[in-house]
Amino acid sequence: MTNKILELKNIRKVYDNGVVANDGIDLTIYESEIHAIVGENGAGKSTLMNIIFGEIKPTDGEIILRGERVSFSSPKQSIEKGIGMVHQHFKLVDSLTVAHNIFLGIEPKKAGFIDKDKMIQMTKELAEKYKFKIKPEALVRDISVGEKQKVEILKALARGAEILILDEPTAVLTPQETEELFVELKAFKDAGHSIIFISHKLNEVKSISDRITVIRKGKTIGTFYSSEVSESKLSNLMVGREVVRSFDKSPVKKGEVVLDIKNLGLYDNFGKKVINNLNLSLNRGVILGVAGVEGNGQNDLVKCICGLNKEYSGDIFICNKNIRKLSIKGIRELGVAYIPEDRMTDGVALDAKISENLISTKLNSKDLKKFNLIDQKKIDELSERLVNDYGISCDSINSTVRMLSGGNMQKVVVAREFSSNPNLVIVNQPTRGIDVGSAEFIYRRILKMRDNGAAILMVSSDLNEILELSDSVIVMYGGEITAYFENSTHLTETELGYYMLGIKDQRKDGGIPYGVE
Amino acid sequence: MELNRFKKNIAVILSVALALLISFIIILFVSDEPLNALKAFILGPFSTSRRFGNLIEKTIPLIFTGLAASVMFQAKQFSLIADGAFVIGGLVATILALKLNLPPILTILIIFIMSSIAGGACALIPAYLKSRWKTNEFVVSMMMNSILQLFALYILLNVIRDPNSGFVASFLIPEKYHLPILIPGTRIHFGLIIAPIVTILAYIMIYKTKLGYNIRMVGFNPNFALYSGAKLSFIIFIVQIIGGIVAGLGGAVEILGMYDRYQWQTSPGLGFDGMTVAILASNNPLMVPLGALFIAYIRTGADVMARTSEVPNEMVYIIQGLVMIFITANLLVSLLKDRKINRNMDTQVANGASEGGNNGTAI
Repeated sequence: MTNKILELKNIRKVYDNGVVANDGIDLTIYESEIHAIVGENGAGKSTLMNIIFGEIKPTDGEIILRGERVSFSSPKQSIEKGIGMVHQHFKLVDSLTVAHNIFLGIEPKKAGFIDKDKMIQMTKELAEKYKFKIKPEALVRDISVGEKQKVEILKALARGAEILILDEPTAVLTPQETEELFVELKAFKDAGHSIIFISHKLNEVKSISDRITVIRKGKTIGTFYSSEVSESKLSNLMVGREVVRSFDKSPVKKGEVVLDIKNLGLYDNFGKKVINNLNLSLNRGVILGVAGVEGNGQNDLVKCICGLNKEYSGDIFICNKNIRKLSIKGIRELGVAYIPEDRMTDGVALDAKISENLISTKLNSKDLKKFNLIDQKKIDELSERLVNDYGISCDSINSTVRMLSGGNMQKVVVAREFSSNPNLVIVNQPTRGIDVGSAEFIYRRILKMRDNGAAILMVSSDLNEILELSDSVIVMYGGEITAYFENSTHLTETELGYYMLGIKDQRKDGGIPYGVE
Repeated sequence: MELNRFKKNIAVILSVALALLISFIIILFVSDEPLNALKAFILGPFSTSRRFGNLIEKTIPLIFTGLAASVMFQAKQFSLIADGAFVIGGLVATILALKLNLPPILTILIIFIMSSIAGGACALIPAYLKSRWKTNEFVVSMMMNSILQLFALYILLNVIRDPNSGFVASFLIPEKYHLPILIPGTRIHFGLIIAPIVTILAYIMIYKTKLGYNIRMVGFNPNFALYSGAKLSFIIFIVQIIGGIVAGLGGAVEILGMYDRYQWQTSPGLGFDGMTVAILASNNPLMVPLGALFIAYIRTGADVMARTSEVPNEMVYIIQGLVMIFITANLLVSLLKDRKINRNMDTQVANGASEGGNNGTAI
């Protein structure tokens, strides 16, 4: 680990929509080293890797490969120079064999036709060389996720990769598969090659890598020897703040019940039960956090409450009114505000103006109309006020939402929803993929809504968020509520984790099943 | 973004200019007297009052079908029904004019209303299938157009055909129901007053009513419209019906303004030209008359050119095709892409990021 193989100097990337993904990244990779890149979601890791791989052109900065300045305009060129990348989402052809996937596009030929026997032979040799266990003749659609990943890695190696970029390789693996992968990666390293390893699982990063570079907000925060840096230090560097409950919350002032769900059940389109006999009630002045690994029925629950799914059994009452027969508009008129999980697909119209996005739920009232026609002046006034109140940074209210950063986009959604004086606020992943500043702002707004007497149901996969904001917490597992903590002040992430993974279940542990109060 | 709208307009103008330029180059090659041909093409529409009249006469129906298309396009509903609805609107107008015997103004009003309703009815099937079953409105409306045209032909041949006419046409529409001529010496008729009124109504509907707002949001992002509480399937339905209504009215205005007998054995194709108009106008109703004027202008110019030189009339389809390609391919929009945004955002993010500070000890 003495020869520099790859060096990045002051890499910057500004996307066409104005998002600055990388803003001054320095990175040095040595021969036979495993170098981890860590950072929060949206810190710019993936952009950086795509720059190295030649999929994205940097706006600024230098890439020096083996002492020579390079500028890739496509992955083809970087592959020729010995760089390989395994994407988080596999790019394989399901209907072809493992061997064919590995040699796709560079197939050995005999008399102009693909030489399948030789291909399988070459695959075996390659796998043996790096001690990979795979079945060359199997079809990719028949093999496991872990095996697919090996195929991806071999695909890169077959093209002569000496620098291997792995984008969150362990996200899809079981612990055993992860261990196996690590053994293979170490063999690869011992052969003199380099690995760039992206992850945000800090314990893994520490166990596998030689050095670690922390990236935050598109900048290199520092590079450390794995042996000399602790996980908590890394975590602090990544987030740039202490991960603790940092908000001074006023004591809970519980009001009347706003949301009451009785015996809710739901099947998905494939006939699978996604919500099973769920009971829940939520009072004014309370933030109820819904924790759970994604896909355990949280989104389905939200859809039922918001009127986007009417196929459920059981009953949902909002402000004592059964919503089964109500339209989405009707439900909104009961005073329901909703921050959707994915702002891009549901929360905003990207090519409409900011002002148009801010009023989409407000045109029923007379306030924005004159002679029953839309009064542009009143809309502009309202929009200006909301943009100021919610600190949405934009050129003008007439800019399209597409021009905004993720955080400001989310603020547009929040401004629209929270300004309607709601009784019930549903927030689904309120701060996913947005900057810390906007996230804090949104947290404060959620707390303000609670203090103003709204009932808040917050679904999030970010445990920190759940613990920081919630007054009470439920955990959803397999479409059921498996845990309820009426007061979550002393709840820990570890404890929550047990319930989220189904290791613990309050109902089985003799606790009181959570239900109607 | 206002800037975006401005750039879009520039892109349209550039597309038109580029299409014309290429057409001129083609004319230079195919014509023995290219300068005369070009002169006829460019100045022809203004050379006599009759030709200028032709220009305006051609503009009027294009405004109607252009509005029909732009309203539907606002909600990203690519229905071709304006073509069939236009024909049926004209047919219904003819039948009523032949059968009714009431005071002229009242009759004309009734005709306009009934033709509009008939046009709207034409759009029912594709609109309903789309809103209920998500059937592709493009395909269904195209098939519907065939049915409507053949239906109109059937009625023409079997019900309203005047056997004494020298060509296939209906009985004479009574003179009292003809729309008044506005400018003597031309055939510019009262439709020139109706079209701007409908234009303004369409503009108000799209930009000043809640329905129009919802129509536009459905066009931008149907999920967003749904989530905000708009009745998505209703909007998808009603916007196509409105398109049919406007086109049907256009057909009636055209028949009562320009013809003394109904004689369309095939569709005059104005519904399709209306789509070009809508694209030229970026779907903004207020810009539709300009787009219609442009299409009418190159049509009239090509007519004059065909009569005074050996360049064929079909030249106009090349121009129209090129304009469509340039605009829809968004070629020029991307060429005009604004790099300034990047710079603005740079400083913003840089300021934001520096708060974090650097507390890592780098090696």
